[in-house]
Amino acid sequence: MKTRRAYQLLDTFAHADAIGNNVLDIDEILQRAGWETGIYCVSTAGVKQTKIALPYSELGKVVDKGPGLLIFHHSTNTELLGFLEKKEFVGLKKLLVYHNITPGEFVRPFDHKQADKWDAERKRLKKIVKLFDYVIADSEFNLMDLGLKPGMKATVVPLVANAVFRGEKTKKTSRKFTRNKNKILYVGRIAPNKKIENLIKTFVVYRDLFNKEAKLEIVGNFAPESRYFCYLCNLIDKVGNDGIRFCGRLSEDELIQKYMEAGVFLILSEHEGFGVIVLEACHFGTPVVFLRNTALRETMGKAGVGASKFNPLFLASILDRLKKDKQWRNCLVKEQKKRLAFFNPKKTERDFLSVVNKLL
Amino acid sequence: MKLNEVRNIPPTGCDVKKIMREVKSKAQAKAGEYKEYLEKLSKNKIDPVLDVEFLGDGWGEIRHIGNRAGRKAGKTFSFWADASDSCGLLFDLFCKKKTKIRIKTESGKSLGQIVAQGDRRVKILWPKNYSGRKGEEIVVEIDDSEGLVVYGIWLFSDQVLGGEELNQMQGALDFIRQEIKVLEWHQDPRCLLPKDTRLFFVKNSIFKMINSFVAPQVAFNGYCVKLLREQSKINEKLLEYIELATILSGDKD
Repeated sequence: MKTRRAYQLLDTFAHADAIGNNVLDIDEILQRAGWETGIYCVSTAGVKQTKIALPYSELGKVVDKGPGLLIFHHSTNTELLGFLEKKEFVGLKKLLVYHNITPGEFVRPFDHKQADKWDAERKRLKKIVKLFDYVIADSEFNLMDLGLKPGMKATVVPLVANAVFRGEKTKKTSRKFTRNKNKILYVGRIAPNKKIENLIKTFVVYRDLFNKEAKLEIVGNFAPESRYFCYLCNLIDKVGNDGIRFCGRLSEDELIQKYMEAGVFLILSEHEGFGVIVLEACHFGTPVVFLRNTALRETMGKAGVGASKFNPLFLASILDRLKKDKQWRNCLVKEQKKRLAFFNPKKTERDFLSVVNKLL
Repeated sequence: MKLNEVRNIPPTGCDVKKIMREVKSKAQAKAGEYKEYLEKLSKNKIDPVLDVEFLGDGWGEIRHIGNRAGRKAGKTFSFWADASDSCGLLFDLFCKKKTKIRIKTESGKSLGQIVAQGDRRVKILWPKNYSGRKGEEIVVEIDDSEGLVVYGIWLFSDQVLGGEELNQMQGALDFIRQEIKVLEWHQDPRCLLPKDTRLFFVKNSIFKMINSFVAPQVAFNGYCVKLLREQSKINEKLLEYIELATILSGDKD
């Protein structure tokens, strides 16, 4: 039987990133199923990735005329789309894995050039879909961006969730940490669509009106010189910095410790394509409070506490109740564990393989 | 405990609806304290005029004015302007006091300075030797930042008004409509009080207590509402005219 080949192509292959992890998962799944695989990208971020991935210009050289599958991960404006239209790839079946592109409106006040680029890319999405034989998205929310519904040469396979179940994170949960109910945790990029300012506003209302001991820990990479970070610093200057801490990027060990020590995981992002981090919080038994107007609604289902709109006082009241009501906390943790089971990696793996097997 | 006594065993699950009802009532009970807290913050640290949004549910320094993002930081108000395909800039501002205003680009090139009081439309033509960069930031530097409102920014070009200008005008009009709604809402701060306690608060001392802070704001917001209504009427007429002119010229772009 002839070996089947799959080439994964993406813009930036970053270490400890949801999309990077997703690429690694797909690579592993396909290799287990007997495929020959390769990862190609425009740039890499992180030592491990440079060893695993090759520059995308190399792809043209390795593609032979036999059957093959080109898996393209789309999440930002990229030069790769022009590259995909090249002659060498005409014989390949093409699969689009769409992870969502943030609408420019969120970033416009801070970086109008980036906003223009993202908006232009989002406008092209419906045209881009035509380049591909099939589309996989992490959520229905993402499929809607492409103007597709499940069944219309597209399906939802939340493979990104598999990262939560990967080796190290699962093993280390046996370690014990004492939960500090005063600690509120956020993990993720410090980006305008994540609405960190709303997180800070909610926290200060909680700190000043409900719990003087409260602490907010914001874990995630940030650029200290960026406009958005300066804006956040100005806001913190105004409202007082007691209890607010930017932790930056942490190692996996430190991150697990943060999850296991936190009383609540609070995320007020106004644009999320899937939200792996909330599942990580579920995995470590931390109650999640989130806004329901994003794909988080789909990811969390009935689990967690979902507020329909941003209202600092109401959210602070929820945090207060969560701190005091042990029974509710336990119920939430149980419900979240159930939800986590819904993203069974074996099931998503089966779904993914059935798509690629149909294609080739 | 007696053997035959019935024990009320709590169910293993949680009544989420009940919990949320209780959370809401707790939030309502804190509403008065919350308003006072926000007012205290706004008095000391946040500009009550520019940060109108603050009085609603949070804080905000980034404003969208006529489809352009502007932000105020300290004594400067800045926004991005595309100088590469325009010949000048027009913006409307309101100053409470007599204020010296300097306008410059982000690279520090001066575009002019004026002394303004009250309502003022500022028109700036790009200097002849100025090759504006796309998306350059324009900085409005003011001597006294209190009570400055920049409420309309337009770029204008030598070209005949067309579809793009129409879109810009539509954007400006939408912004003004929104702004009127916000200001009307904030014109009378009693609207912000909970329905059931409104009368109680109005009749009693709490409202009197905050009246010194609220009264100038009410007057100022009232003025802004009038101003914006006028602006809105003018814009609507202009839009009708542009639409008509576009149809007559056969240019549907």
